[in-house]
Amino acid sequence: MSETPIHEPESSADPLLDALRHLPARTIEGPAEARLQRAARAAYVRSFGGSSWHSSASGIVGRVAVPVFLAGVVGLYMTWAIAAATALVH
Amino acid sequence: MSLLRPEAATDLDLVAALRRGEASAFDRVYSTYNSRIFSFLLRLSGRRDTAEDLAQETWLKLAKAAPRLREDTTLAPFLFTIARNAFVSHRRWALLDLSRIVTFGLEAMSTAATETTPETSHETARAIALLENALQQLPVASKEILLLVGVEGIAQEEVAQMLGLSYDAGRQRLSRARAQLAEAMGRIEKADSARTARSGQNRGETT
Repeated sequence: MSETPIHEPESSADPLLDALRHLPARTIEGPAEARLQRAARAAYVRSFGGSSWHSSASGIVGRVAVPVFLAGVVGLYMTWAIAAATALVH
Repeated sequence: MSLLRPEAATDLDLVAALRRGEASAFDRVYSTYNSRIFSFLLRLSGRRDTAEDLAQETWLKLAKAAPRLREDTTLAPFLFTIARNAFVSHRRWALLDLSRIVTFGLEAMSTAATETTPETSHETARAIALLENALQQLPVASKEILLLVGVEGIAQEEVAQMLGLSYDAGRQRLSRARAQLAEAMGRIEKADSARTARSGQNRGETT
C-alpha cells in the first residue's frame, strides 16, 4: 500500500486543504490491478482497430466498391434499354 | 515563447500520442493516473469493490474516446470528470439497493484505519485516519469538491467547470465543504476523547 502521494501538488494557504493534499494514494491490490490494465490496454488497441487489414478492406468495399458496382449495373441496364428502344424504333 | 505549464505540455504530448494510437502513451497515462483515480473513487464511494469497477469503467471510456480526443485536452480534469460521472451514475442505481446503503461508509472507516504501513508514525496515521473518517461523513457534493481541489490539486476554476458550477458557486461549495470537514473532524476528536476518558474511568473503577 502506497503511503506517499504520487503527485507533488502545490502548497495552498489553507492548512486543511494542505492536509488533504498529503493524504496517501490508495492502490488496487493484487491481480485486479494487472487485470484492469490489461483490459484497458486491450480496449485502447481495439479502438484503433480501424487500421487492421479486414477493417480497411470493409471500409474500401463500403465506400468505393459498392457504389462502383451499382453504377455499373445501372450503366449496363441503361445501355440495354437504349439499345432495345432503338431496335424497336427501327 | 511558450506559456504552457510543464504539466500541460506533457499532457499535450501524451494526448497527441494517445490520438495516434500509441499503446506506450496509454500505459504512461495509466501509470500516472490510475492510483489517483482509484483513490478518488474509493474515497467518494467508500467501497473498494465499487472503486475498482468504476476505475475500470473510467479507463475503458478513455480507451474508447482516445481516437476522438481534442488536441488540447487536459488529462486530469478529463479523467476525473469521467470517473465522477461513472460514480454519479453508479450511485443513482446503488440508491435503489438498500443493502448497499447500509454498508456505505462502514467499509471506508475500516479502510482508513487499516491502510497505513507499519513505518508510518502513530501521529501521522492518526491524522490520516481522522481526515479519512471525517471525509466519509460528508455529503457527496462536499466530498467530491474537497477531493478534486484538496487531494488532487486541480484548479478551483477547472473543478467548478467539471461540476457544472460557476466559479463563485464552486468557491462557495468548497468553503462550505471545508467547514463541514473541520466540523466533522472536531466531532470525531471529541467522540474519541470521550471514549478515552470513559475507558480510563472504567480502568480506574476496576483497579
